[in-house]
Amino acid sequence: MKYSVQVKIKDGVLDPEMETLQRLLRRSGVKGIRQLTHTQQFVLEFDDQVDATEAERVARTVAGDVLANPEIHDWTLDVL
Amino acid sequence: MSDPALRIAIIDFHGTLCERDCAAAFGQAAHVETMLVSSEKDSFSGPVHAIVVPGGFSYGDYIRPGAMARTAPITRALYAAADAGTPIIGICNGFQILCEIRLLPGVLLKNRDGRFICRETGLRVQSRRSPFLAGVKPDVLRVPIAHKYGQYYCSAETLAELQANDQIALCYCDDEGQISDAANPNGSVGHIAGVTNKAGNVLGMMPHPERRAMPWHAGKDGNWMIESVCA
Amino acid sequence: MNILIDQILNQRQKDTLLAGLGRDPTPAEVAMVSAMWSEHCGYTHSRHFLKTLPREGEHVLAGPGENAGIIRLHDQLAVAFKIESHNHPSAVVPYQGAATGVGGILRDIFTMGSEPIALMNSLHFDIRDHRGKWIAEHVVDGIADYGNCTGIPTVGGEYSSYPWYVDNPLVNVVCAGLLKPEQVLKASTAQVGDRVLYFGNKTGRDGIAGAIFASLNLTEATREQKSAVQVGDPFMGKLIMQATLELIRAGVPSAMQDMGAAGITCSTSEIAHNSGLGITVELDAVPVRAPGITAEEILLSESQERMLATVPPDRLAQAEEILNRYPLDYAWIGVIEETPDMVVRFQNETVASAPLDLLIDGCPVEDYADLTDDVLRAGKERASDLSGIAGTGRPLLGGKPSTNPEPPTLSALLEVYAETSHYASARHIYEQFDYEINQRTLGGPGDDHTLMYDAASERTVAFTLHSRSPWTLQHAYRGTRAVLAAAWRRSIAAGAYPLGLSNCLNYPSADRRETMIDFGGTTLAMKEFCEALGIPVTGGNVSFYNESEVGAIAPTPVFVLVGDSVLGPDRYRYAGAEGQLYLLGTPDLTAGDVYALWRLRQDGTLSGATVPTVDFAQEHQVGQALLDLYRAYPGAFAMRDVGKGGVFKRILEQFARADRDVVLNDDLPAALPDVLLGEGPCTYLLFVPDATTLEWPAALQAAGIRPLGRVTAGDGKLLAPAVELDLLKYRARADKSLEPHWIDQLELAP
Repeated sequence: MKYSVQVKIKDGVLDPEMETLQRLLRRSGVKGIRQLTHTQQFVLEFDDQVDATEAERVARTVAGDVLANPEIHDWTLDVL
Repeated sequence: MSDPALRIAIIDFHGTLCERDCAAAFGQAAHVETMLVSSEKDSFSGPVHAIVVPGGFSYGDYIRPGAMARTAPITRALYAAADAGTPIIGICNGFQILCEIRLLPGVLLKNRDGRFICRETGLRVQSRRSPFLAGVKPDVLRVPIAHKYGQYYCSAETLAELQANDQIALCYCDDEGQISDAANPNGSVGHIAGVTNKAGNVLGMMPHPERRAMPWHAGKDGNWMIESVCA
Repeated sequence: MNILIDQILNQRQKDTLLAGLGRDPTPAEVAMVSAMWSEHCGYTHSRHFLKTLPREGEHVLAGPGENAGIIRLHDQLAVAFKIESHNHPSAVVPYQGAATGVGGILRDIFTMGSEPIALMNSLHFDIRDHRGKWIAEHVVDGIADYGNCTGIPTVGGEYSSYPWYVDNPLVNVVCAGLLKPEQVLKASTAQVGDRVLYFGNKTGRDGIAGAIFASLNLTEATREQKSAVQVGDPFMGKLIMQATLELIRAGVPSAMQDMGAAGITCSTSEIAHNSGLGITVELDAVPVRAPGITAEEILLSESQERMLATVPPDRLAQAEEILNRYPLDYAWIGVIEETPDMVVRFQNETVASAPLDLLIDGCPVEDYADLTDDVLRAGKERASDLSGIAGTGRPLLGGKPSTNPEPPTLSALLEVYAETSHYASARHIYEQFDYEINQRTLGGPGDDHTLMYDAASERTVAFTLHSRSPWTLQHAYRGTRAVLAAAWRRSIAAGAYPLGLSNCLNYPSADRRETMIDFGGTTLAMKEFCEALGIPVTGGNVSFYNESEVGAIAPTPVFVLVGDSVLGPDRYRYAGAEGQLYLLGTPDLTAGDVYALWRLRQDGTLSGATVPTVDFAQEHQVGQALLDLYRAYPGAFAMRDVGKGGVFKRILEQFARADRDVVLNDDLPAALPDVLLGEGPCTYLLFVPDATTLEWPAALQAAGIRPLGRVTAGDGKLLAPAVELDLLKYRARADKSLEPHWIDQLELAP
């Protein structure tokens, strides 16, 4: 089983790196970008012995506890 | 040990940097015994009077500062100690860790201007519920910060809760003790430099009291907090 | 890579290799030789001059040839220190280039068994355009991230911006560590039968041919060679530092060497050769992270955070027991042999087998017998003619000469002072460094002196870092003498008789005779300085080929002095007292760098600028007398050397307060611009608070110490005959820090 966890900063939380990048792009003549966000993707690949239910449970725990911090992040889980 | 020494546990994760500074600063009084506890242990092997989670770059700040600490065995012992009312302080990366393992509300984001800042800051003591602050006499301390991820952030609801429960322990201020945007080095919400849990026994703060504590330091304001918890 | 080898192995090197082996070399042997015989590892151009430098002394515990120099400060404490350049990587990939520079210099220090206590840096850019600012910001970020994450404070440094660094920024990093004198571990003490231990990160393809890369001029082609730049991992750096120090404290290794330039090739061959022995290396045992990696790539890889040690057979289990506690890779990759050969095996074949004498000492070196001391002392005069030097020859601002009168007025000079980034507060740089961690910093960035405190011995170590490219550009020999004297004065002001000198010599292409005349002039000046003052050279680093299509850098030797300081936690710190200012020496405006900058802005030359002529015996006499004064009146007065920015900079930094005036006397020793902005031999500024009564030693009276003025109640002015300056205004401009110079204004705009 292979899961993808996508972690992104919640709307309204400042992401200084993306703000800076957007300013730099604007300065270099790139126009029309309303918003620039950044998503981290983690791929969790499980051993063959682990069944799908268990794999999804573990993936959700790791995503919610370590990969994302619910205070600032939204995350989604997808089967690959 | 047969003597009545106060045992203070100092937790050492891979990548922790300030464990020896904290041991030196907290261990100054004759009746205090500090011990380094590896994060690979799942207990403190005996009673402890207080716990320090020092600064540094645990696990290289990979994923997010403090995030990997959740996987360390010592975390279970920290939860138990927090429940039992043991005084716990997280300094800098220690604060980030306590937030990431959800012993404290909120999270520490990258500084407002994106850069590491090493600078002495003014700290206004807003609440003395933490045993590390109960004995602090002055209202303003001068203690340095040294971090890249020190911008305290929490949702508006959490902030209201913190205020209602008297959990905001320390705020950044200027030399005169005034809290202002100009005195806020990293953009923290509510100018917050330190918060406690609801019970008050767990404190997290970005500034480093152990860097204003030794006999050869020009400023010694950090000693107020050390003496407070060791009294 | 084959192209690079052809570029590096010249006919003479090929002939030497063939004659030495008596057969055709294998590809692995060519790879090893190409790295070991590059300027970076083999000192092919510099060895002729470097071998003349004094390196012995009663305080020297380890000297050149080891990973770092070690000086005994007193019975309980020794200091390991070294400076190294990371110029070329930083020009191409500034963040990683600078970060790996810090990682490398840290490993040099803890490899010797010493615990790193301080990092410093000497940074030189041309920040006039966007690219320059970009390089500067990322270099600082890289240094900060690596140093901060390893927990070693970055406590001092120097910064300049001159046009000759336009394509070739200089990034020199310094590390110092403390150890007990009996704890020194060298790279020359391996025994026959010792096993060879590899630990740290895995070996990958990053940094292949890095040592060769550092020996080439930067061209568009080399800028594309980004694979030669390594990626640093400070978390691993911190772990291997802990593991190394634990291994050494447990007495496990017999010798230790870090893997820096030319990676496994250099570290394995040197540890065996320096021990007078041979080595067999099994490349199959090396932990690798790139599938299909070849023997040559493993031999030359400069993957970061890797260490090499030799361990006696009865200590192997103990080594493994310690290393198992850290999340890092380790492997036994060879054995120390009696026969002084380097044998390399890979996939059941011997891929290289060469005498170590050939590999290391066989390197053909250039001979410069015709560059006699007389030739070097005459040197090349450059002041009005800076042809070939990057970024010069036209006015720095606006492109056309200004209408300033000559000689310049005080106000024109102060305008230069306030507008250039040189005298701005460096807070924007140093606040990105954690300079207080480990609780040792007595004097950090922004303080008068760089002082680190050792609580166990209750002693202070003083560090001095100094370079002056306008002087060494005007004349390498006289300029270097002046830089060394200025560094000496900084060390004296920090309370320390220097006990050792380390150096980083940054020069243009070694293939040009002019460069080698400059280089030889610098080493001759160093020899004279060291002999006159009894200070040994404990190590150093040479960086040639700092030039590009637009021209060469100014020759820039950077010096580090270390000493046992008489200053302690109770040293005098100015807190608003009234008192008397004294000046020692006679400053000359044209010798100061404010004048040099004014002239560069005027017409892009250094015409009219001078180099102070220094007498080391006289500097020694005055310096000793000042140290005696510190000892006689501890904590009672303040002293600064008069360096960059002159007396004015020191007044501004120390006495510009809303409740104080600085009132200069009527009978100044020279014209006001000279006194405020000049420099000269034996120049120091002293402040004696009214509460202190001093008796000047005869040596200082003889040297002509005289009252300069008073610090007294007032409102932030400097008052001199017919002149009134608003110190607070200048202070405010300086305090705005470097940001307006460094950061692109557009980047700041919302």
